[in-house]
Amino acid sequence: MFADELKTLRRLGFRHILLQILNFASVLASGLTIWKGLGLITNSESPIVVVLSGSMEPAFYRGDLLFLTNPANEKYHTGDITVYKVPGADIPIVHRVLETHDGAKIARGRSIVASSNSQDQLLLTKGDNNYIDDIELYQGLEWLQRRHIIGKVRGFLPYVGYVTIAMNDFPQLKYALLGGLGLLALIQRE
Amino acid sequence: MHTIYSRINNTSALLSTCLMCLVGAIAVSSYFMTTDPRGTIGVASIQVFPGNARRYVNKQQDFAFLHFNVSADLTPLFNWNTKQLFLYVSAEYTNPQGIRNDVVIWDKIVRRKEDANITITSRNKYTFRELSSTFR
Repeated sequence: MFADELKTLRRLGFRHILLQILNFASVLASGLTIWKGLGLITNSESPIVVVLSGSMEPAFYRGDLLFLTNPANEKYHTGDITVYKVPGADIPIVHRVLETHDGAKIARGRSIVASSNSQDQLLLTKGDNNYIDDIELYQGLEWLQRRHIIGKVRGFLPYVGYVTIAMNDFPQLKYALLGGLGLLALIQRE
Repeated sequence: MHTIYSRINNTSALLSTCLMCLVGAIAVSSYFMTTDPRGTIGVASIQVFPGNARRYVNKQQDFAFLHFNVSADLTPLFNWNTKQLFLYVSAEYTNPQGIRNDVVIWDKIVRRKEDANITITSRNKYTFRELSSTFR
């Protein structure tokens, strides 16, 4: 089945194989550059996220793709939809800001004091489809601070995130896709 | 355009370009559909009671109970591109330590134009508590 391909490869020589590998590596590198560049422009560690739970229905359903930005000097207001990650939890959560307290920070001993930096905020969030706020999800924190927030939702694409969910639930799909793409890149002759 | 592969390639490139343009046009169109509906909101009563904080049972905390009424006609906000209206009543105040607070005390999701005439008399849906345990 691959006799023709092998003959062509042997004719073109070792250099050709190296060139193919270089092409492959440059495709991977440019993909990574685009992702990290997007993260730099939006000032967020993960500017595109997929909604995993139904806690923001009817605004966002499971499988929606969200685009986030995190402008450094902008404050968050009530009603903003933010994605945050609590230290100790490995999945980010997308919920709406319920309360903001500007100019407050948490001092040692968990007491709340006025902060000299006017950018400090304490936030409380709640999912639209939940009855109560997110205190249970904060893993011991009482308020969220700016540094826990990955970004604010600016736009969304419905259903596109199902690909990521499928790849997470069936890892064989991920390996099959990667293997197929690798094979395609290697046996392409241009 | 002589192999299936190149045909699929061309067609999918054209499809994705057109989709991107369509999505961009939809996003831009939302800037041309601006309306400014107004409504009235009145506060009926505010009461402050002491109680225990939710998490630490021995910590004193002040809770505020607010009764208010809202009436507004929000039907102009529903255009072809509106998915839902998220309405909320929030209380903004500055406490004696200089911390500016903005607390949402009631919210509602409106999904259809027929439900967009709002006349509500209600109390705060979420516990209205102060950061530093007392409103004084």
